[in-house]
Amino acid sequence: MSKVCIVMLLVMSSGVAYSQQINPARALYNYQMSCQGCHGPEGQGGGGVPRMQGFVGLFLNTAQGRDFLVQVPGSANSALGNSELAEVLNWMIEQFGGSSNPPGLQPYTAREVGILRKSPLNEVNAYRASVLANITKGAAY
Amino acid sequence: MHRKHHILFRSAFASLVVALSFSITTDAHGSDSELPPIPIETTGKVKTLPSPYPDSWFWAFDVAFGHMLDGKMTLIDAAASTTRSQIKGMFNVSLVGAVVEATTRNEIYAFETFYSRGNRGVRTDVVTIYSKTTLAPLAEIVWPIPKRYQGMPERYALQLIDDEKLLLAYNFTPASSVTVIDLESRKILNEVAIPGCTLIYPTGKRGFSSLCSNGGMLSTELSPEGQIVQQTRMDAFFDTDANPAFERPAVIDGVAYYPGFESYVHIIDLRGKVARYVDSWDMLSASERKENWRPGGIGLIDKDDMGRFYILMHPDGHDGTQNEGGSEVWVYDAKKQKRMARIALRSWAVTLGVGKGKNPLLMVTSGDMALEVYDAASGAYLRTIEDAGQETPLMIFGVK
Amino acid sequence: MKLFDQFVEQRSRKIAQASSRRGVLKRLGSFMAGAAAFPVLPVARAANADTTSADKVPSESGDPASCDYWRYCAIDGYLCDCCGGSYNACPPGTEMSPITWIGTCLNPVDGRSYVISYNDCCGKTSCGSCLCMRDEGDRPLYRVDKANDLNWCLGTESSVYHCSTAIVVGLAYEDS
Repeated sequence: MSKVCIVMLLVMSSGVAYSQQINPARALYNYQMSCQGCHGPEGQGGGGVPRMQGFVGLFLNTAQGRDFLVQVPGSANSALGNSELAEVLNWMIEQFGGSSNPPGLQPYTAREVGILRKSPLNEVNAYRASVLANITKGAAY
Repeated sequence: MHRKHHILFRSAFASLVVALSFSITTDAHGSDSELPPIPIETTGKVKTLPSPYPDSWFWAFDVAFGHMLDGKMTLIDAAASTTRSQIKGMFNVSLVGAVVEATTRNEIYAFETFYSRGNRGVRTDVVTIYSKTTLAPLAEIVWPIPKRYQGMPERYALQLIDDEKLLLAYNFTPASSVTVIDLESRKILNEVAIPGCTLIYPTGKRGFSSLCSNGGMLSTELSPEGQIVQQTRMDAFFDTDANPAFERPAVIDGVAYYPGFESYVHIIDLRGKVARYVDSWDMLSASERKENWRPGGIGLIDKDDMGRFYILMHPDGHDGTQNEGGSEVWVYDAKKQKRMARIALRSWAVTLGVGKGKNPLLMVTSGDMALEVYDAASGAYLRTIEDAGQETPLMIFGVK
Repeated sequence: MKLFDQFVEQRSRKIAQASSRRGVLKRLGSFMAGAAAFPVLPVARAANADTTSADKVPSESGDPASCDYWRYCAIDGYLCDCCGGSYNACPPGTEMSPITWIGTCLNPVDGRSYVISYNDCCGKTSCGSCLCMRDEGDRPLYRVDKANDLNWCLGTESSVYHCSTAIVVGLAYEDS
């Protein structure tokens, strides 16, 4: 019982902390300027561009998936600074993740993003598929 | 319209003359019926072209901005002074395509898109291989999934590497990739992803580099079978927001000279397996910098065979003037990092191309889309190609 | 007096520069020729100075069929406003590209910068009316998010380019 409470508390508190770290106006602007052109105003993707709406949160089920969202070229090579990139990622997850988001979201930090984006992905499509396969495998257990 | 009137007038005049001269025995036309008749000609003749093309020939690439399904490459002798001797032939390039000419093969490649119903229907992306001597298609390489880059003409959207054994073509969906084609078998070998990067700058023996969104480069080394040997990222050498570089370099002996919006040249060595940043240098003197001379245009830069590059420049430049062209062509010795000449153009130009050989010609597309020819060494204006049948020749290539 | 002369000289140089730029597009499209001369006048729905803020309505000024219209600061193509569409809608029978590039332009009426989405309309050949090329903030192809040199008819049934829109999708964020 108490264990459940602690978990719930953790989820709630991290949820609060999560939102507090985002300046929504700035995050929206950076999303629009750097991401929306391809991913669309609602993160819906289309025309070969991956959908984030109701999907992006899936990646947060594994460490590999979490890293992937920073290492994809759109993130890693973007013109945004580390803290702006971390903020926009956190905002996108909150905004578009919906039911795909796992509980207990941990926001990306500028430091984490700064390290990860130094190793951007090259063969992104195959890697993305393997990341998702690993996540589905995990869910099967 | 004018010609029609002329013909009408002439035939009316001729009838009148015939009528008047009917009673007289001599022919008022001054024609001589004693002459032998013109030999009978055969139908069905089609001309062919010399190989190699003479140094004074150029390709003008009309992307047909107002009707993009009908782009065309016209082969022009810029040293000739009449239309009939200037125009050598043409071939079509559909939907803002890309082209590259081989040196060692009798082939020129066009990267095109077709729809089964013209502007709609089923899309087919294809590299069409044309013969340089007949300008007829020799073969087609069809994309399994259409995804080629469509946009303003880029010299580095279609490139040859590995002694012209492999052809590389740039795709954009907006995911970026490069399709590798074996020109012996005329088959697609591979598609290489170049995420976050763009275009194809031949690198080393069998590789290419691409410019990336962070101002760095990604170098891809390929095997003879078109597979990736390695992909290596190079750190940013310019700021894509604050001080961007043009994606249009002059490449001289394997070294790329990328002009910047603000008139700095970035030197990238492409001779090794991986692109290597060498240095940057200022194109301007202090007084020119005060006048804010900047490069601008579409085909804004080209090189000659003597190690010089030619670049369109305009004064009073600012963010927003980078595509506008220039009033002058500035000529630099790339190795010495020294300007050799300033050529004041007769009219504002948006694109230039330099011919081959020791005494190259310089052809520019002026603001009103005319093709003007200059002597590259002296900068002297020679002629305007008056009737090339080109509406928007936004790219010019000296022949290879 | 001298100052005035200098001002006039500067202005005329600017105009000369502008006209030669327009010369660039003479054959590509004659539209630009009148663009710079079009006065930027507040439209009728502009708020009066003496109305209360509650009565004030959002306002923009100028002619959306003119290349110097504020939203077009980084456009490159035919204005859909002259093609049977409008600055934020495609002409009949065309399809708006879901994939595009995005920039910011300053609305001179309220002094705010807005985020503009330059969606292309696709599926018919070039509209051919009102060619407009302004490249403020335009970047080469390596900055796909800021590049107007490529055909943005992506993710549409047909990639044949017809015209361009300029849709206000947000307010630019400014650090205060």
